[in-house]
Order: sequence, then structure tokens, then C-alpha cells
Amino acid sequence: MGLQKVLQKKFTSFEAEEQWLNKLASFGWLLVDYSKDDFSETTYTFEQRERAKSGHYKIDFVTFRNRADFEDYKALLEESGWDFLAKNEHYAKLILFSTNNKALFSDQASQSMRDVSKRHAAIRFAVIFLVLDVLSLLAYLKFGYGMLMALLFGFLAFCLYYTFVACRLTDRIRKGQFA
Amino acid sequence: MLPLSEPTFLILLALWNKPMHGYGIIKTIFDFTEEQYELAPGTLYGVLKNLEKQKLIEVVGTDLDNRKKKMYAITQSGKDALIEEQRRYEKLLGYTHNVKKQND
Repeated sequence: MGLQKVLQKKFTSFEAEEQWLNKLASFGWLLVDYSKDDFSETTYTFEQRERAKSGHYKIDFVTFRNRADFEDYKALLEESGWDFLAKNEHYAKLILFSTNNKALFSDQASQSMRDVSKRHAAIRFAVIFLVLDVLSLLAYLKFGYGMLMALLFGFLAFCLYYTFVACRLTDRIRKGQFA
Repeated sequence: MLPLSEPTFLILLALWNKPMHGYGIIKTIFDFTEEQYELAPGTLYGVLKNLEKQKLIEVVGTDLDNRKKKMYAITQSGKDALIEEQRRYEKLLGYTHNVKKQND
């Protein structure tokens, strides 16, 4: 095993994340593992490998319905020459590395689908936290425990955060359409 | 649904004769377009999932050599959509030839 480096970082766009990974690759740092954090800070593990310098990264975002869908896409990407690091179907962000010069997306429209998928995921989380918030409000009104009030604010914060992420993605998607 | 995007049209066309797995579709399109069109896997997968939702294609099993790879087949609605799109293209080409002929 070569020299290792573990970094934690959060990005607001896939483009910025790809650029950062490509820059590290140009110094010989190859990504060997990353945590399943689609909306918060991701932990990236790199190793010093020569082949990092001759490749590039691309990111896709897919919400898999089940294991079979995940395995099907994994097989397709590997056959097309992409290194696939996601461990299971719970990973939505797919960080891919390739040493051939081929594209992951044929056109801008299909590339922007990753932002659309991420927006769907953010909206889903916002709705889940909104439901939890309403439930804790109802529970608070019935039982009056202070802890429920704390939960209420916690869920509200998450709901607002995911709503904010979804709005920011909507803005990016719109800009992309008119670019 | 119509008009179909270029990748969508090519994917339905690749599946016209027989069911195929994802990478088989890429290779088939590459062959019949005389190596002019190499569909990228990210684009292919997105279109496949959309076509599946619209019931223009369906999963009919897995590849015998690799059980992880799904086999996709065109449905009757998929064939109808492709034929309709072909007619649209033919009409457009017809208009193009007519207008250009007036100039000759």
C-alpha cells in the first residue's frame, strides 16, 4: 500500500468537486475510497499512485431503486473503462475515474440530469423532515415534553437546509438551460 | 415524448432487432453509425431509465455471461414511437429536398 492521505471536504457543485479531484490526481493522488455523504462533508481517502496522473474524474448522481439497478450501472461503467468506487446502492454520488479520454456524458443536457437527480433527492429529504416536524409539533401539543420542542427545531433546520439545497440546484439547472 | 432526442432514437433503433445489455447498445450504435457515434455510458443509463418509465423499453432478464447485466428490449409502444419519429424525419427531409430543388 502506498502513501495515504485522508481529506474531508464539501462542495456546492459537481464541477468544483471534479476540478479538485483532478488537481490532486495531477500530483499523483488517486482516490481509493470515499464516504457515502451526498449532502454533507465527504471523507476522501487517496493513495499515491502513478496512474492518477494519466486519468480524469467525472461524477454522476443516481438514486438507485435497488441493488440490481446499482450492479447493472456498475457493470456498464466498468465495461466502458471507468473505475467505480461506490460500494452499494445507497451511494447516490458516483465518483468515477478513467485513464482513457472518453466522456461520461454525450451532451450538456444529459450531464445536467445529475443536478436534477440531486434536486429530487433534496426535495425528498425536505419533505421527510417536514413530516417529522409536523409529527413532533403534534406530539408536543399533546404531551408537552420540552425535548419534543428541541426535536421540532432540529427537524425544521434540516427541512430548511434541504429546501435551500433544492433551490440552489433549481437555479443551477435553469442557468445551465440558458447557457 | 416526441420528438425523440438523438440518443433516445439511436437506443431504440439499436434494440429494434434483439434485446441487449447496456454496453451492447453502445457497441451496436458505434457499429451501425460507422464509428461516428459513441454514446457515453452516463447518457445511455439516464435514457434507459427514462425509456423504462415510459414503457418504451422493458427489462427481459439478465445476460447469460454476467447475471448483473440487465437485458433491455424494445416494447410495441417503443416500436410505434420509433416509426412515428422516422416518418417525421422523412417528411422533414422531403421538405428540405423540395426547397433546395427550387434553387437549382
